[in-house]
Amino acid sequence: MTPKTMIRAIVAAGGLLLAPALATPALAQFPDKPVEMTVLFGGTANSIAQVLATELGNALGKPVVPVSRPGGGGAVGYSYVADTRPDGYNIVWNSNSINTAYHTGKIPFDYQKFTPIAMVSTEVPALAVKSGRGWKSLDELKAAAMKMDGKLKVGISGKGSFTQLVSAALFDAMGIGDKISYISYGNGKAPVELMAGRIDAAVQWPGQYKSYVDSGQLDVLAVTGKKRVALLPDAKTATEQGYDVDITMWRGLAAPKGTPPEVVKALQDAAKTAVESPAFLKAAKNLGFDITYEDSAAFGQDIAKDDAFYAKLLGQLELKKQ
Amino acid sequence: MDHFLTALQMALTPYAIGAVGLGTIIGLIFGSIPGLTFTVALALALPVTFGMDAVPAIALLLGTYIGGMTGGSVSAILLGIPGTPSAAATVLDGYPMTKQGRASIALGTAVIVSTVGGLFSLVVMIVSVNLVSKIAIDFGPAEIFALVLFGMSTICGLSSGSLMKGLIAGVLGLLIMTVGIDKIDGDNRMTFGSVNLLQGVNLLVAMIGLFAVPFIIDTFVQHRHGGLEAPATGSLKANLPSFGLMWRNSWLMARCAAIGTGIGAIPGTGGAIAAFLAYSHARRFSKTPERFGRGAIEGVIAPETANNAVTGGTLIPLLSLGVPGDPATAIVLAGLMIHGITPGPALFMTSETTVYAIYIAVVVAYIFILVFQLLGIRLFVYVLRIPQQLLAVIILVLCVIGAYTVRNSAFDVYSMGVIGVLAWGLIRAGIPITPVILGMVLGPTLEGEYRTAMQLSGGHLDIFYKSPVALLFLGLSALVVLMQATTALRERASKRLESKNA
Amino acid sequence: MTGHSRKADMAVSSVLTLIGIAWTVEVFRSIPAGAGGGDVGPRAFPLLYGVLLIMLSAGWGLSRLMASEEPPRSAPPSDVEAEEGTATDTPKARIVALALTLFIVLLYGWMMTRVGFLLATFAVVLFSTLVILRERRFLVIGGMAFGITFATWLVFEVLLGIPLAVGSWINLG
Repeated sequence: MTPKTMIRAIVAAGGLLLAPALATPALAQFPDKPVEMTVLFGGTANSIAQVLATELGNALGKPVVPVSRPGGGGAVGYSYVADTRPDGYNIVWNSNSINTAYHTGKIPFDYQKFTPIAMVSTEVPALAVKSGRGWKSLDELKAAAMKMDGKLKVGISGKGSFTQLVSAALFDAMGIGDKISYISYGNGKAPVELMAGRIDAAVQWPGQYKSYVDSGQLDVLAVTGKKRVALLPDAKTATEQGYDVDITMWRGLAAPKGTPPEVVKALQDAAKTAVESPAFLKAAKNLGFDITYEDSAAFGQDIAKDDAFYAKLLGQLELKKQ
Repeated sequence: MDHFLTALQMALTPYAIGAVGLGTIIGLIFGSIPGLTFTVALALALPVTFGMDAVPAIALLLGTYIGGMTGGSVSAILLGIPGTPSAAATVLDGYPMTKQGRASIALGTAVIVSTVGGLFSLVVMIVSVNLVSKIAIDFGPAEIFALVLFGMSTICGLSSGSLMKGLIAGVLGLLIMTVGIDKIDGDNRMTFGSVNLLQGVNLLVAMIGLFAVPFIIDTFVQHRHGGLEAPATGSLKANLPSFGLMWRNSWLMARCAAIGTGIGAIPGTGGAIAAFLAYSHARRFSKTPERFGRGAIEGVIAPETANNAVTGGTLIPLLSLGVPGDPATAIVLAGLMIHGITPGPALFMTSETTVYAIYIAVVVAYIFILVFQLLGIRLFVYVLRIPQQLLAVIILVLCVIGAYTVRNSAFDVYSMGVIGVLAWGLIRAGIPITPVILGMVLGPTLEGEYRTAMQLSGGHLDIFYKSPVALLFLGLSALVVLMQATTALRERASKRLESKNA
Repeated sequence: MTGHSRKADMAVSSVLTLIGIAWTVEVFRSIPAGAGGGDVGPRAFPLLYGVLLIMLSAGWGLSRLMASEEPPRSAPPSDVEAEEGTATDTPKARIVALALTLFIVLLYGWMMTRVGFLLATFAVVLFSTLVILRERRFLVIGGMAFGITFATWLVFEVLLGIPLAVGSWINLG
């Protein structure tokens, strides 16, 4: 490919022959070889992971290789990493899915199998409706739903998905939880279905609405976080409109339980450097996520708090299996 | 016009052209080597594009996508192992052509018709993106379900021997794909408590197992008993198809390009269904349908035109609606997003220049494909000179790498092996493999769209018969099944008569 | 392909019918039904496919049972058929090749995760050429084992940067 990789190829080819002789002792400074970062999902999760991995590698001085292990709602990747040696060379790009995957019975272990490294980013779901329906706020949507004969059809990504959990919490807070009928769509098709008028509202990610909002075809009524989203600055939060909902999807890094503290510290510091890099800032702007750095201790507390929250929410939705 | 000129300047820099060229080569290589798939190539190319400017980055990704779609036909024709699910239909007639020593004609035809199909769809996209995206919006779950069912009905035309065996194969494909987490309700299905089974069977892994492993086993069987004949090197000359051949089939190409573009424009369907529909269309309207499956050139022209026409078609929902049609275009979407190009209706207002640059990149990619692949045919055909038993070992290694890299999971290597052995058993039993892959490609869409449609209608079937489009496709499916059944019955009756007279 | 004996067809259809029955029973037992109304539920489709498989396989078997005589081979033999069924191709040879291929794929997958991709590839290629192909020319054996291992490593690991499997016991490269 590039001359640089060619040179790398030749050097590495020579290195292969020498590698056993030069094997470094186990007590060397972390990291002395590439770190593997397991990525659980495609799409935005994968894009952020790729950018982050490059920056992490720069900060650590050794490459960080993102390896995709999708499937089972994160179960496959979590199980893989949980079983690796706790030496910091196998880390996972995790998210709230660690909580939901456990409680919905996809994995037999919970978040305590992992040592948190750092929280990196958050994404906030948004509720959108087609323009021209006359709904400009959550209150107007609520009034319309109350008057409706049937139920309000809301597009989500699938039962038990994050977007459904958010929808359920939001509509419960609005008091119209029993007036909702959920429609599952894959492939990010919900905005198109809104346009076609087959559904009344959709709860998806801001990046999917952006272009439709710019062209004036969709209105975003609310985002579910504490703050507004940079990508859709005009969309009010649910809290601003008087409904107490604050759910965001976080993403971060974790290592298998038992990873030495100094290794966790090294990775945590690298993560801090990486999220402040210009490339990561640019990715955040383009992909529509927020950079939310939290150190290992704070991140751990947040995961534990979330775990209780999702256990309760999934219980209410009758999706809790364990 | 100003936008167009700026776009030309952006897309025709040496850097951007180089990016398209590089992407095309990567795509061609991954598409043409059995076991490797261009979805993996795209996943690899994605992080490489992060450091590039927007236009070269997208050019690289599109080049990989288009190159992979075209390259998939190479191993389908030479070895009977499709490089992508979209090339599975090409095996039916392309591989017999190789056995007859007409590999280079088949390969040459495939390249040319792929380019024609691709450029046709691009033109359609440029002139009618607004109209087509409006139509695509009208395709809701009910309509897509009906369309996919129509695609399934082509199984009837695929099973050369018995309709029953073809249907059994199709059902097996549908059945396998239900293993894993149910996408709509999130329930575990047939996982027996195993985390590995939760991820289900991957389509690409299964495809490698279905086509490549039986090839390897057969080669081993024949080699052990000295039954392996010297490869058909008889006509290893790189004969290209004549102009007359292309001209005679231009009307077929036009129809198949239209099928491909149309299918590509509807998200959630993709290349495989287009290729199969085009194949069965070509066969049904052929004056000599009995030649199909035995090395008919039309059986290569139809699916190859259609699956490349999908590339242009699929860009319509991708760019104008922000909806990717398949895993491959989902990666292209990620590439667009990270460079700050958000697909959707506003794209054509805010980034007109970029859109034009994308069009130009597609044209450049097809020029590269035509050049690389026509030059490459000599090289590709050379593969047939490798002693087949050694080739089988190489393919084995490549398939294991291919199966592993799809999801970086050793489980996929195991499932490839098991599926391959079962596939070999099916072939032995006279059950065709192609309907299995069709069932696997369409199964998840079929089920998902039906269930979403029922959620929308609150459980009333009227969502299907109140939509003229859905009704049309349901009617067409019924018609195909009915026609096939009567043909089969008539054949049986005439056979019985023959045997009585004899 | 009408050249299959009635007996073989009957056996295959019985096996497929049994698979269909086992599948249907397990689906019915383990997957929850939908809530009704608009909810089709996760069980409906797997159940439908299982029943279809039973009906089709059983139907095929029955139709072969009913057929009073072997249908005459009316279709001209295609090239695919011509290649199959050569005199040297005995049932035993097929079973051996089948078992060896399955074994080697499973071994490959398992070894990759234990000793890493490189060693696994080397071992598997060596085994295939020596045991399956019964190759005795040293140059071919060595060339294949070293050549394929080096080429795949160079192309995939170095040039393309694909993360290949790393071993949990030993790992090179």
